[in-house]
Amino acid sequence: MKTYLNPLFLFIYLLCGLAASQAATFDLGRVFDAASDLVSAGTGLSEKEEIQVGREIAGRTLGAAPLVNDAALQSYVNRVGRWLALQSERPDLPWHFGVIDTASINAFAAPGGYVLMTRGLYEILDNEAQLAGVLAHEIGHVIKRHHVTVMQKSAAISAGAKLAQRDDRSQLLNNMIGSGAEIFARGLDKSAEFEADAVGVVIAARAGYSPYGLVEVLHKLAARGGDDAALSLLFKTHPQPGERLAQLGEALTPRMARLPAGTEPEIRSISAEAGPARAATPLPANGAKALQEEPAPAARPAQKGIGVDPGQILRGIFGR
Amino acid sequence: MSGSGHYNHAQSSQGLNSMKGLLPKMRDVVPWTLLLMAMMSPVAAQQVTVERDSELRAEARLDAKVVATLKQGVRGEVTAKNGAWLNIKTAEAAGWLFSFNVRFASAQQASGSSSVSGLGRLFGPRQRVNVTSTIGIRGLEEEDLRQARFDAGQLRLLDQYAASRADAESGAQGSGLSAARVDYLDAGSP
Repeated sequence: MKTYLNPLFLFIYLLCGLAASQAATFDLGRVFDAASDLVSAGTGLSEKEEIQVGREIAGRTLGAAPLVNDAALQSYVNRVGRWLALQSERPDLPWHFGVIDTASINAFAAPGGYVLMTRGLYEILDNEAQLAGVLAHEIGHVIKRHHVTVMQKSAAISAGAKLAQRDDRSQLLNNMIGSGAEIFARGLDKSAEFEADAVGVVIAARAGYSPYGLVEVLHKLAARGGDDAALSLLFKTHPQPGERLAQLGEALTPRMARLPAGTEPEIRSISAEAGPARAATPLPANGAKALQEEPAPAARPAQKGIGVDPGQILRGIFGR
Repeated sequence: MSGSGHYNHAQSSQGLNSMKGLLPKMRDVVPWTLLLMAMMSPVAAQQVTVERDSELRAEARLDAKVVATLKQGVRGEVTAKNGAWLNIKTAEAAGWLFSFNVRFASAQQASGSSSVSGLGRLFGPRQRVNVTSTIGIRGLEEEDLRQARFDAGQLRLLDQYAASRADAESGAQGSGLSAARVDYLDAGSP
């Protein structure tokens, strides 16, 4: 279907280039999204800028937890992820996927197509359909521009709406990046998570996987519960998995009979040569204290002069 | 005064020493115990609780005949899965239940085997018991993300692993995947 539409894309692209040259860049995704996704249309960020912001955030996240030392695994995850992304409205973003070496269970999507999942999450997966479910949820955040929208809102409000004007783009971008990887420690709103779940199920199904891989992962998270230390950040930043399952069940029910069954290929195991997971990251000097003093999310004061929750952004796979 | 302090100190040291003697033994025993439990627990041992009143059906289809109505809180055992459906056996009935309507038992509730290995047996072929994601570890936390510094070397590595369209398509072909046309769900978000 996408191949079939390519000439149309080209035509619209040329048309826009000629007739609407004031649009600095043109985003193919918006051809599909325009009617239904007012949020993304409202970001006003060019694709190039979006990638720039995402790359910076991905680089900082990798500074917190490096890639698992298994090149074959990383390439495999990139093939699966890119195959899924090809089924989306933004197939040609510079998609990057990586498994980072921490025992925590989580996954992150930075703008522009940077998707990182933790080794702790990878290791509880049973098959490639479940991996696809996780990656497709994150792809959903990227194509719907959930993070970039929230980051931009925070940055613009913090520094004054004038930064959102075209005459001060670099300052706006810097402000967006300002909170860095911390954005992953915050949450999107619940509706963004539910939307990414619903989009993820469909993208996985389009790619030929069982549509229920993500559902099974959510069941695993629900069974582990909030006492599991590996899930503490995820549970802090996402709606409860039970709530996500209920939402997803409701959205899927009318369509179940027509969804393809799909397949559940085997998943690649992490090489023994990659060594054990880095179970504990060293605490920073004031880390334990800082963690203990963490206020409840609702009561969190604004930080670093940024007006709104500075990084109401990144949502992991299971997040709110 | 100081004598009594000495005494207490000696006593606690002794306690520690005996603990040290025990610990290596426990380390040896625990993995074998887990392995044995995993081997002994039957495939059907996965316990679920019904989250909301639900209809149990004769087949894994929404329009299949209703064989029973399960009340919220009823417990059952999962014997098979089929897409979004689980075959459930309760004290009174057996049939197919929409999987969104149950909650799997946690590791603590499950008798013996960990929830991870239990769900693994139900959801897929992977058998290994996961030992890295257990309660008590400390992983990536908010503080780590807040203080993270940009790592250009790791980002270059990430670039190297990226897959081209052709890589992705041949990988999918190797896994027997073919693209299907599926529309987005209408009720994507509430």
